Amino acid sequence: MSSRFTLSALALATVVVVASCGSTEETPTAAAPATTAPAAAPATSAAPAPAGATLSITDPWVKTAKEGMTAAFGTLVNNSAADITVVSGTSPLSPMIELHEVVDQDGKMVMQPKQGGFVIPAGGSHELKPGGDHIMIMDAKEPVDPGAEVPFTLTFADGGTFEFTAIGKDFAGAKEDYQPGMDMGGESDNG
Amino acid sequence: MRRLAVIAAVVAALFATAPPAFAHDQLKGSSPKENATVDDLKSITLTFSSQVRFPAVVLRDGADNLLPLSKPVVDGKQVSADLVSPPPPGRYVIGWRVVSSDGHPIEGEIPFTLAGAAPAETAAPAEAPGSASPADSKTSPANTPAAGTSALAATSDSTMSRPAPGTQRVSAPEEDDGGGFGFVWLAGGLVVALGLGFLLFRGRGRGSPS
Amino acid sequence: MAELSRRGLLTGGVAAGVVALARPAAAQAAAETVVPFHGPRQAGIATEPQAHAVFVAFDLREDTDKDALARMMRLLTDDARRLTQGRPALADTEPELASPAARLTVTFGFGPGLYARIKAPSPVKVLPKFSVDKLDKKWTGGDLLVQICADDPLTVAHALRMIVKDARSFATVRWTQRGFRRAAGTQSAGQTQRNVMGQMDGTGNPKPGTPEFDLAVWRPDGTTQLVVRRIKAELETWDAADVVAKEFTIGRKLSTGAPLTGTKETDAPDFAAKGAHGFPVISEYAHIRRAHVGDPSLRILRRVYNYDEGVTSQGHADSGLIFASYQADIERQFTPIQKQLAEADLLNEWITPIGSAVFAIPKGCDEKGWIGQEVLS
Repeated sequence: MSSRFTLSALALATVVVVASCGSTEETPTAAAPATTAPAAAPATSAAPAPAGATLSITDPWVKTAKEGMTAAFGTLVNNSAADITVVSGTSPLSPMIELHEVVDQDGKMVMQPKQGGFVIPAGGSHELKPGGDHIMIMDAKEPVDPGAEVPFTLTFADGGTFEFTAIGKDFAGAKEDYQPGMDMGGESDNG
Repeated sequence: MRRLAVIAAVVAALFATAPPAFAHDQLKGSSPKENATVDDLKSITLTFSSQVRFPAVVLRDGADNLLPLSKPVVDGKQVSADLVSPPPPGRYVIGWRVVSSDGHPIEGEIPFTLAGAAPAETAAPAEAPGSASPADSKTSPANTPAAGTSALAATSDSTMSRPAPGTQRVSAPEEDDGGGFGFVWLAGGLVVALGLGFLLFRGRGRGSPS
Repeated sequence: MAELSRRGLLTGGVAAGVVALARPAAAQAAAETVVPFHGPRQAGIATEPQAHAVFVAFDLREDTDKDALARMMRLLTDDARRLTQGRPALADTEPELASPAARLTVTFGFGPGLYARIKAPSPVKVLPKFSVDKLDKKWTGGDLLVQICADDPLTVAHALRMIVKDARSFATVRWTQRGFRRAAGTQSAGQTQRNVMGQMDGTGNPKPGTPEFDLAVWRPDGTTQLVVRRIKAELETWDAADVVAKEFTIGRKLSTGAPLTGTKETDAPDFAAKGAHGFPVISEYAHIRRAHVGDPSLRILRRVYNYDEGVTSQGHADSGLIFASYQADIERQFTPIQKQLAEADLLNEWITPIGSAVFAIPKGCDEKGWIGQEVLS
């Protein structure tokens, strides 16, 4: 297999159990099978570092790529009573991971590093999505295959960390604004 | 408008009452022939107006016993089946069913007599049914009903219950027994209808300023 | 005359208005009905057939190995479990189309080629060649099958799009077959559907929830087997046949679906009954006699869909049946019936099998699992 990010069935199951529910969804359980208790889902969705126990992510996924640039998405959910600020991220996929936003510059959507990182409000959520805030992988050293699982670690302003695994997913979009003028390189096109 | 309706009604009536058999294949002839007396019986051949499919042919003696036949074979417009062994003289009925080339099933019966020791004069349609002479059934070699005969295996019939052997010239009810006649009648009807239509149209043409 | 028409029209208009007003609530409720995805057996088999279906078969790409297959099935299972519940798939570019679910089911099957790829024995074998077959490659075979059914065609289209997008890195599309039955709500549940030839289709089906159904369809491990055959209806010549011919061919009345020896659809055919000249009322070659199976364990579940593609410039139809049957064991149940039919079925005059494929249907999965896990892990 070309991907070094081998799967664990359990990890995938967590991706799957936690339901996706659009940008304003506050809890990650939503329409998931009724047997999943609201409190249970976030707890199983990642192996959080101590300081990250109050953060979870719903439906994390990463756009497939042969190499080069790509991005990861999902909905960060803050289960605590205090705001959480994510200031950086790492992944074995690439030494260069940035937190990006997409802004309108003279009618053109361009992305740029987000000053101050992602702020997830207390008891709220923050959606990372194509065309919006996202975790930017600048230089993937390995292909991201569809269905592969890619580990990420987010670091908070207070030094705490949060780990999660995103699943590789073929996606045609999310390329409108990647470093205009530079070689994209990260397109998945084995279809 | 009303005239058109009349034409339509007339034509419709003609078609409705015409035998629908005109479109289907028909039995054109057979060997042995219907009501014939033959001296010899080795095989049965049915000739149709067109190639038919899925033939079933049975041969019953006067006591309604089935005689073993080979599996019927279609060859062009003919369907034939062979006798497995020579039957004794007597009166017999061929029962047949085939699928017409248009899918319509047609079936019928052909009574005939095999001449010999007990010649049973030509079959009289008026004769009472079931009056087959006892001698016939006694001498019949095929008293066992059906089992083991290939024709029956092919038709999966085990018994042949039948109202009246050899008394009526038969074919499928809707066949009306004489497709040729039916056709002539239909053709005649069409001529009448067309003639009527012509007259009505002429009348209309004259009478209406359009 | 004109006055009468107008009154009729008005009445009709009022009636239609009432229906139109009454409809949305009921229709909406029906559209939002969700079929559970998780369970020991896959959905879309015992599920009352939905109005619309698409069957899509894939060929595995050369480099799709067992690990890749596992990744694919995780992705496809994830899509299915979300979409069937009316939720958008992960990275769904048209999340608005995920609802209503309209009883969407997504059912997966593995063809012999998939088992060959992972060097495992296949539970299903390619069918023997039948004398009536005129198989076209473009409707035949396949390594992976996805059967997508829903009461709404747009829901089906969206699910198909999502599934294909997630499968195409691993496989190429071999064929798609779209089919339909009566629209949802136009006839009561459980009522036998008609095919494009006008015949009742599926009268003798085992009923879901009965021991007979379980015996015929399911294997003890929750798997089953699927045959998909594309059967072209020769409508031009079928049109030329009269009612007697059609009913003789089938062995049933077209109007009621009753056997020629009965009065109701549910009447058991009397295959021994004889007509005036001693020949069986239900022909030796009638479709229902040839297809008849007495032993409940040898029956099959016909879950069929009609197809009706583009009409030719000469006005000829391209119509027929997507014959999909589920049975515990194709070789034991389906093949003998098909042999019987191929040998001598009056209906063969008007139908032509032009596609054929077989698939093993893996068992269902729970919230943590994925379809095919036991095969691909």
